[in-house]
Amino acid sequence: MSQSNSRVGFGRVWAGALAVAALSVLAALNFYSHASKLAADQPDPYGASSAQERFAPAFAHLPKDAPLGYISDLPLDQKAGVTAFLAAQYALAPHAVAPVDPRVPTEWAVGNFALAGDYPASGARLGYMVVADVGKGVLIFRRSPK
Amino acid sequence: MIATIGTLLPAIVLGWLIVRLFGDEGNRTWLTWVFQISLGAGVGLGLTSCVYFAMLLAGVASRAALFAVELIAIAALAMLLRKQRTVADEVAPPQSSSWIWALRIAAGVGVVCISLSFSESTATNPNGEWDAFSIWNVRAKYLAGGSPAWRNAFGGNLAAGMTGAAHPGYPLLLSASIARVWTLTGAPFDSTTSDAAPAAISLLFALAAYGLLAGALASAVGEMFGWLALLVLIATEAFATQAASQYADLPLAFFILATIAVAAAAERAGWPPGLLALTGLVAGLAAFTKNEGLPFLLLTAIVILWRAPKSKRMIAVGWLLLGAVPGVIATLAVKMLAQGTEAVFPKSAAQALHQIVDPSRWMQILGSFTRHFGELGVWWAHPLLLIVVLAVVFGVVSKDDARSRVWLALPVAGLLAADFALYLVTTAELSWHLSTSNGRVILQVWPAMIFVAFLMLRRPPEPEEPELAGVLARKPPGPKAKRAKGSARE
Repeated sequence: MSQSNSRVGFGRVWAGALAVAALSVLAALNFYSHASKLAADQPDPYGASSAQERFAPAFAHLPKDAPLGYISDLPLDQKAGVTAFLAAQYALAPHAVAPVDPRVPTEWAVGNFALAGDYPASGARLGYMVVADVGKGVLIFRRSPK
Repeated sequence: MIATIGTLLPAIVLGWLIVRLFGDEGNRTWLTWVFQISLGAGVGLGLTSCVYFAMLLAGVASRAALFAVELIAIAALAMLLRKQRTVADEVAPPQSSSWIWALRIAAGVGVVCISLSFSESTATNPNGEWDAFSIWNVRAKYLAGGSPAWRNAFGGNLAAGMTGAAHPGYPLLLSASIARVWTLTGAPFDSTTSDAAPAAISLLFALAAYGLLAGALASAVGEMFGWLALLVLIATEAFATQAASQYADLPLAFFILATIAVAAAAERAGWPPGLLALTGLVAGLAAFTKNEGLPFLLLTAIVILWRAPKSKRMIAVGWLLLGAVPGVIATLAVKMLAQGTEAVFPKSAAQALHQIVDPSRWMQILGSFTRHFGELGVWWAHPLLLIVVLAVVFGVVSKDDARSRVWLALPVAGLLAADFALYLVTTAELSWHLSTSNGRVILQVWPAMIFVAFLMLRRPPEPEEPELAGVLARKPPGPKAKRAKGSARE
């Protein structure tokens, strides 16, 4: 009797273990399927990769380690503006990047524009002049001489 | 990618040597190797991160200096290990049913699926999710930028001071680990920086967490439970997602699991100094990973102080705190260098009290925790459901055994309580704070919770009939070598 009970116990344990294993594998396959679809549907969802490509040419125009002001037509009180700023901050690192502060303006600034517009005027309003336009809405600004 | 892997190998080797030196329990099966290598990978990444950070602050973090320091450390540890080494009895693993192969294969398939998911996600989104490029990886770029750029990682105007992105004083284990790889590979900053480092480190921590859970449980309660725990973690889709996110929550989950697993091993072995120091080391590295790590370290020290035998209490905690020194010093350095304060903390006690006594906040937070536990996986293979199934099938241990093991859950429970308290007093909008972090807070402790849950299950009955068992011939025991003098082990 005890041997038969032991076999039942052993069989039950392994049945349960194998059921868990099967469910886990199915869950993993399900996850893979969803992850693949999501990856295909939403490449670079925050634009961080494209920001790296867009801002790469800017480094050639900027002094090493210069802190940068940030000028954009996307305001920072909106999600698109925040996303664009953080992606630009990442792409421009190790330069420190912060929105232009008129009280303590940086010598150099970077423009990140998403919409068509008068980019030099955007910089001029903050006391900057265009030094270079590297394309795709990215401009390099420098403080205008007084 | 090859260069990146090349720079990760010294870190893994270094960590593995440390684990062998301080945490080798002797009898070794192939699952012990899995445990030691997995633990060593995380320890190595964490320690080399601390060393890199220290060298950066000292102004000597050049590629040549880093290589030299790490190679010298590896050589020194290898020599120490060789001196100290006992010839461990090579034992055949305990008898297992041949059905164990089904669990091994299932676990292998699961890990392959997760790795493939990671690969596809990273291929189309190499910079990770929001916090990756706005917090962790951007700081890594600052650190790798040399002097004076590295100070930007602590700047008060980082991320324009925005709540949720600024986080001055955030611990930097992950960022420094990435920066170390970039420094060693010479990743340039005037063109697109290599995206491989953050992704590779994230994947390594994920795989190490899987391996650590399986190996630690196999060492503690047998191979079958090791594989089953791994399968429960594989079924936790929310955890698998984190690998491609490149956040610091997954490394923190690794270090929290490591702390609990090594503490359990320390108790099994009678609280030897080596294992206690190793417990402290991984707990200290948790502190250098995210802010949650510091209260976790304190909780661990308190629990060890309570749990260790009376005659060994102060010594046990002493060894633990000694082991925690690298992580704690690095964390304190970050806190001292940071400019500004964490935006979500209340500015006054009155403000905090006003929020604590609001019952709607309690309900909202409880509801969020419940919902996020529910979202750990798909309903039909939910990890909690799988654990319940196993509890029904195996049964739970006796009350006495449960009481002797429940202490391992205390640091984890304490950390969750601390997280709850933070949500009560946060000055950020509560819905936003919960929706953006609650799920990850649970994932930080989830592997450790699985570990403790499996310790509460009754060990499976051994097979009796020869035809049901994979009988393994036991090798004759090898000669026992004398212990070397000055060993870290008693």
